Amino acid sequence: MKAELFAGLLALVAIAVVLRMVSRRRLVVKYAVLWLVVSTVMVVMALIPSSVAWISDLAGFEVPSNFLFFVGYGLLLMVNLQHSTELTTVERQVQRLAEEIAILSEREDQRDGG
Amino acid sequence: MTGTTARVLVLLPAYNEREALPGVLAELHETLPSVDVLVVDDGSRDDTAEVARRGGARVLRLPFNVGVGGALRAGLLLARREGYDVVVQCDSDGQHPPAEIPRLLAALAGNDLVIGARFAGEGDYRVRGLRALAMRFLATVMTRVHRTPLTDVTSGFRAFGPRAVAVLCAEMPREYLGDTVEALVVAKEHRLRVGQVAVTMRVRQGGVVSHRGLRSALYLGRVLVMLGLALMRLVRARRRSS
Repeated sequence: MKAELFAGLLALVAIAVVLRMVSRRRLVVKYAVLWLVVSTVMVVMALIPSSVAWISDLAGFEVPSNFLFFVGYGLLLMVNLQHSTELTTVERQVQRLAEEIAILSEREDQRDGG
Repeated sequence: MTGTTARVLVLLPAYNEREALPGVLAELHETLPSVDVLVVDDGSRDDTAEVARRGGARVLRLPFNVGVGGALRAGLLLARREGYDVVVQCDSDGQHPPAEIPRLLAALAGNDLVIGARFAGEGDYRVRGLRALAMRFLATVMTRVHRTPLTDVTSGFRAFGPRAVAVLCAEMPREYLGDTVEALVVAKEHRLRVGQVAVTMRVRQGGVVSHRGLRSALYLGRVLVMLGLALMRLVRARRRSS
């Protein structure tokens, strides 16, 4: 019982922190959504502990804690993948900006020289 | 500030608008020969920028698509740097008749930001379903926030006075819906006076509104999340200042 209480409180704190960061523009909504979903699920699990056992049994896990570890691991991978795709976009945009600036400065040089 | 001597810049964010743009620019030039026109090409895949230049407008060409909010930031920044007093934002698809611009400018006399509103009795613009519900809800909330009737808060037909230009060139949110609704919350945070003028709008000359079923439900969800966060920010700003 204690563990659930602890996990639930932690999830509530996480929700509060994430919302605060978003409202202070320290975090964009698209990154916040996944964290908020995870925290909400954790709160639900803390409120209804039997749900964890039920779902883990349904998914074929013998020990519910293994199920939790598996899901947690999967979520972290998802966050990682999201960041990788965003980073790819940002890299492409930086590359494009570098090209634009190079073209602009070449134009400046031409004007100065000619 | 908003008399005939004010320097006015008409700002048209444009994404793949080569079809509609020449007509829009010609009409603008005809009805308001004295104003400068700036097209912000938001990373179009077609030759929007060339078409705009040929139509006599100045063009800011963004190297990739940044969304309406981002395009507006660029245009407002240029306006501020070059000392324009007033910026009028219009769609580049011909939805917003240039003949209505003087009425927006007139309303800037008592306001920092004026919205050209579709649902305020003029014209026959209609939306239905969940999207309509979302828009009506947003209008109600924004009316409360600004303590003045605002019936069409997602309108992209707006006039910005000097104070609004100064604030929004730095604070205009780039996120989805940020350029319309959230910008109004930002305006409140900075104590800008917001008003509206009823305008007649036309059917857009190209493109379709794509909000049906699941998509409009998703739209409603995003609206609620965005609004909730924006209002949280507003409450915090108020608490800080009092």
